[in-house]
Amino acid sequence: MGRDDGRASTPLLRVEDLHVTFNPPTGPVRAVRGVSLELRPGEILGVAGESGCGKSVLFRTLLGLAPASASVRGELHFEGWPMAIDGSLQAVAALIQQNPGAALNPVFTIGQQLRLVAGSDDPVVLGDLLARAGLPEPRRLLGAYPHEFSGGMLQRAVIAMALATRPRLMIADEPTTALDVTTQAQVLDLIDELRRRDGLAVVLISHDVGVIRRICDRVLVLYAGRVAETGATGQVLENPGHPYTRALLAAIPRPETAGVDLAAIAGMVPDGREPIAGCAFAPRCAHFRAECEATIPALRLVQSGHFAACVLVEESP
Amino acid sequence: MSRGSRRWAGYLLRRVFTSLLVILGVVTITFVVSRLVPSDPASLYAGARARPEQVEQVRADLNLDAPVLSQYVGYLGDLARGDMGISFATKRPIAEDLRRFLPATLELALSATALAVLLGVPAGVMAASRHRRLSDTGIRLLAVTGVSMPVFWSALILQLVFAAELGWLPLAGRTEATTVFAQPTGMFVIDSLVAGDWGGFVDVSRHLVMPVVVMAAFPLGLTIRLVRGTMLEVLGSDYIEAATVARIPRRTVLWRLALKNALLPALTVLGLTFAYSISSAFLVEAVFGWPGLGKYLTDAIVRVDFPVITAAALAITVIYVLVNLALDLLQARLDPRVELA
Ligand SMILES: Nc1ncnc2c1ncn2[C@@H]1O[C@H](COP(=O)(O)OP(=O)(O)O)[C@@H](O)[C@H]1O
Ligand SMILES: [Mg+2]
Repeated sequence: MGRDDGRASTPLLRVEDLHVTFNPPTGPVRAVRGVSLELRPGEILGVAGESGCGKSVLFRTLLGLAPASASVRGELHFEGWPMAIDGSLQAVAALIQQNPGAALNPVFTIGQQLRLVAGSDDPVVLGDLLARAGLPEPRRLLGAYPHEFSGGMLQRAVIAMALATRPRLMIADEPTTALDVTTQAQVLDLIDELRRRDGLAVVLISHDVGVIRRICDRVLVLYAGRVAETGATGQVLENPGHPYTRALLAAIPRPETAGVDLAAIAGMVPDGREPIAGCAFAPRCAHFRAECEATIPALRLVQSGHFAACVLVEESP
Repeated sequence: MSRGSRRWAGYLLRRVFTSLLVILGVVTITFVVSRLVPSDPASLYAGARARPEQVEQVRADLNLDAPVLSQYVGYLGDLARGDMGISFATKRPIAEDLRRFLPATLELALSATALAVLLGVPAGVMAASRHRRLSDTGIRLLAVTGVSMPVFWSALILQLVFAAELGWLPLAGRTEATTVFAQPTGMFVIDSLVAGDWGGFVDVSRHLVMPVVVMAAFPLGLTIRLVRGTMLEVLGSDYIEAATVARIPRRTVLWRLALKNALLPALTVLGLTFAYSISSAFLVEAVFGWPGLGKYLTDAIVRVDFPVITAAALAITVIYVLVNLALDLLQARLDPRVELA
């Protein structure tokens, strides 16, 4: 992976102890419960975890998309500068949503929408944005409507729209989940290319460990609104320190076991309504011990740059 | 990939053609109902109080002794020449009466619909953009009042306050007796402007205010509720969220992007409200002494003036078909997802 060489460079983005609590009439829902993370320039950070773990809420809150009734607390630093935690990231980040079919306005042409975002009427500039997103014949596509595009082309148009805001980082929330396998690979390659060519930093949210393995430099595993494990992709996937990460890895189909029914992890993600005293994964964990329920486990060092929030991890000196 | 003008022209022709077919169908149904269903159409047409020689006169006029097919062809020919028959009660040609009364109602309905749309759309957008805040609640209250206030009641209150008490507006009628200008369209606001008669225009407009406000109340309330609803749905969509995150200014998002999405599903209902206001104008016309289609038709119904009733029904149906056609064309023009097939 090479990028995790421990250089003392300023991270592009640093989030410190983020908490997000929704306040519906039925009572508070603690969706994010103290997450800290770093994103370095030109890095692709994978964010993994089952559905409902708080992946979307975490980053949507930073983009200012949490409902006004939600309580948000924590600190945000961009290139070392403190910024408001609940939305100021919008100024420098772009969002790629999960469903490309719904992300573009159906009654305006691609060109009309791109023009608004880019603030330019120049068809050369607009066509260039589409070309950077890997769309062929970009000038002709400016006059097309979204329903004339295939799923893969749509996601490329969405990415072009994101590039038009000249973002410093891109937050891609399950960008390939709605696509077929071939198109998935192409969109991932495009994201990787944007990182290499333009130095774009990327947060890639995915419940699919295969997607993360393919292009992410580092990975952050979330469970019930907390960080279960984080580190370089190779370290975390080859030598997982948290039983939850191991369970996630066991749940993905690999070529050599294709066709075999791989049991999903038994049990369910707690939904943030009930308070959780100890490790949130304890009720589902095969290695459960009494101390797991006593206190919330802190992140422990597995090896350089690789941490897991589990009492089983023997901290190396 | 843009919509070719050849394809558009083809679509337009096809839609106009099907509309003509629908009108022909309605004409045929009118014919069948009026001539073939009754056991003695002549006495039905002539009315309950007609003398025998009048009934015989109708039988001869309508050619009722001829074979059905030749009756039908004759009926179509009459309509094509703009001949809709003679009112039995007044002995006047019905087509001529309609040319006088229909524009009066159209003037009311068009003005009321314009008022409802011009006020209702911005109000609906504002309510949706301030979802659950004070102004939203206020606008919703206004909308509920609009749709639930009975016409005779709001008309009476307006008349009491603005005509009887304050004397600002005329109580009823379309014009002062003295107003004279050429009437090429029969819509006096337009006619007075065309004639360059400023005094006449002011007079006509003053007469129009109260009936239009009363008539607009329901469509206004409906427009507000409709636009607020579709707008809320659109504002919750992914593409509006994407536009927001891309830092497109809120005003642009609301009025240039989301409004178009929100108006498309509302268009049909707004158009049909217009068409409906024509056939439901009789109450407003009665209260304000407005010499329109509603009043004409009410009189005919009271007298069981069958030729007039049939002709008016036909006219209203044709208006519905034309409004529907206009809506379809507008929809296809604005919504790229409509198949031009
Ligand atoms: N507006 C909301 N109100 C209440 N609860 C919410 C809201 N949005 C998300 N949640 C809850 O927050 C938790 C995390 O959701 P999310 O971040 O979408 O999960 P995922 O990891 O699948 O992206 C879930 O339990 C979800 O039900
Ligand atoms: Mg999600």
